[in-house]
Amino acid sequence: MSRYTDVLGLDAVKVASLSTAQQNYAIYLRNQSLGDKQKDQLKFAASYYLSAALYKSLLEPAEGVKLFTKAKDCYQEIRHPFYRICKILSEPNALGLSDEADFFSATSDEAFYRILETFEFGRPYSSISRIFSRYYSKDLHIEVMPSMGRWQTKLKGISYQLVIEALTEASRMKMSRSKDLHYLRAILSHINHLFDMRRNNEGWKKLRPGILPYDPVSLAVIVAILRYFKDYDEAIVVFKNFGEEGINLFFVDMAWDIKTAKGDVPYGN
Amino acid sequence: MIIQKVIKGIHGLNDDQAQEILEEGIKSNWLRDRTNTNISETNGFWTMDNLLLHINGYDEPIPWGHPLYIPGRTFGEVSPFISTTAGTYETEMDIGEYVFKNPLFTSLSFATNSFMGEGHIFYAYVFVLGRKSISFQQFSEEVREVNIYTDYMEFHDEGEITAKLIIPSVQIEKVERYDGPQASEDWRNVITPMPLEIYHNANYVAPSSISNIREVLG
Repeated sequence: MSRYTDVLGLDAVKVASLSTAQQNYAIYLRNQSLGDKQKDQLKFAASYYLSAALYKSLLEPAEGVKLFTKAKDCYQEIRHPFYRICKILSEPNALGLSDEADFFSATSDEAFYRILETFEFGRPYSSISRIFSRYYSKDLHIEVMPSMGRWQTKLKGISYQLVIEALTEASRMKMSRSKDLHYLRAILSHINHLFDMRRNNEGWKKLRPGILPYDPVSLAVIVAILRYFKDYDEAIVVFKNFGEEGINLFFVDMAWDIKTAKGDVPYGN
Repeated sequence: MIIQKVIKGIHGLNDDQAQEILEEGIKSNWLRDRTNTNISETNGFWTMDNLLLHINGYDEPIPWGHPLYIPGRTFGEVSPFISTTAGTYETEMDIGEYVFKNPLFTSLSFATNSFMGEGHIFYAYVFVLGRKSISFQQFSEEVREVNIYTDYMEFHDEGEITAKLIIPSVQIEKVERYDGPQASEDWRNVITPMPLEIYHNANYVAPSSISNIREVLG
């Protein structure tokens, strides 16, 4: 029994079986050599590896991390920028290296993923963030729930800029003043809202074949935020202060398990 | 008119029941519940509202006031429609890609209860028009085709082609029994999953016999 499947009310045996089948199907696709269709096969393999990783992480985060690595390898091989999200989830403590020049040739997705990859503890206000803001967000207003602007993230309804502000806020935060973390609170609230919407879906509860248990970008954002905390207890103090908003700590615990790849943190809330 | 090949996974059958379906046709849950059916009872079934209930509300309680309403039952349990799959390409919004969804993976997942046990896969063909044909029981609906069905389909990735009332025996080629864990293991070994048993349908008529190909005489 996994604490995550237990809390989510999912059948752990079924989750394990589905995850294994997705992983095995990805292996099948990965190893087929189909000439000019090979790029497509790799893309499809990456997708099934990713889904397998999301499910496996509910049972054994350390095993999930290995599958995120497989997905990353496939995306990287076809030069798809989503490999950076998989990299955050497979090597959560390995910071990417980016220079300003890279950003001006990157798509908005890729630039955003690079920011998540490179944000680190001890950089109070990232120069990369400033570059991104200057280049992409000249006319962007920071709001919580718009279908806004040109640079909406793959996080449905959240702008890149809002995530960047939340990360910046986290990098400056004082533990005693966590109630002032407006952007971070807004991001977590929205991620949890999206997650609750998934959980209320009958197809999700029955594990219909194409359903993803949770959103990988959401998890990557929280993994990036957790880089600012020395340990789980320090993080949980801050996140629990958001409790009056009804935010549960599922994603925080999951992200911490991914970050430490051990799965031995007691379930928080 | 287009002849569309489809597959359908069914969980919980034994081989005898599977062969019985080959002979009788794949019935909708509404039809299976009845011993004597007056076909006029189906008048009024073939509406877009009912189709959407089948697609998006299969596991949900039947709306109160619906003609098929039975307390405590889901719409899927009484639905006059039949779900099949032919695969599809799905938009993955989180990633920004179109991804092929294999119909064998989808139907095996249903048939074997997420690859935990055994299950049966039926191979058949249905008739579609390349446009909506809701009112016509004899034509199936290509709900996977977003240029035809612009209503949001939550489970679009399942590549659904929706038949109505029954897929006649004559259109079902065969049924195969798979072992879910073994099928999964086959993929790991980079081979296409092999069925444990195959039962061919003696009543089957290949669609080539009704397609518009005129052979030379002689």
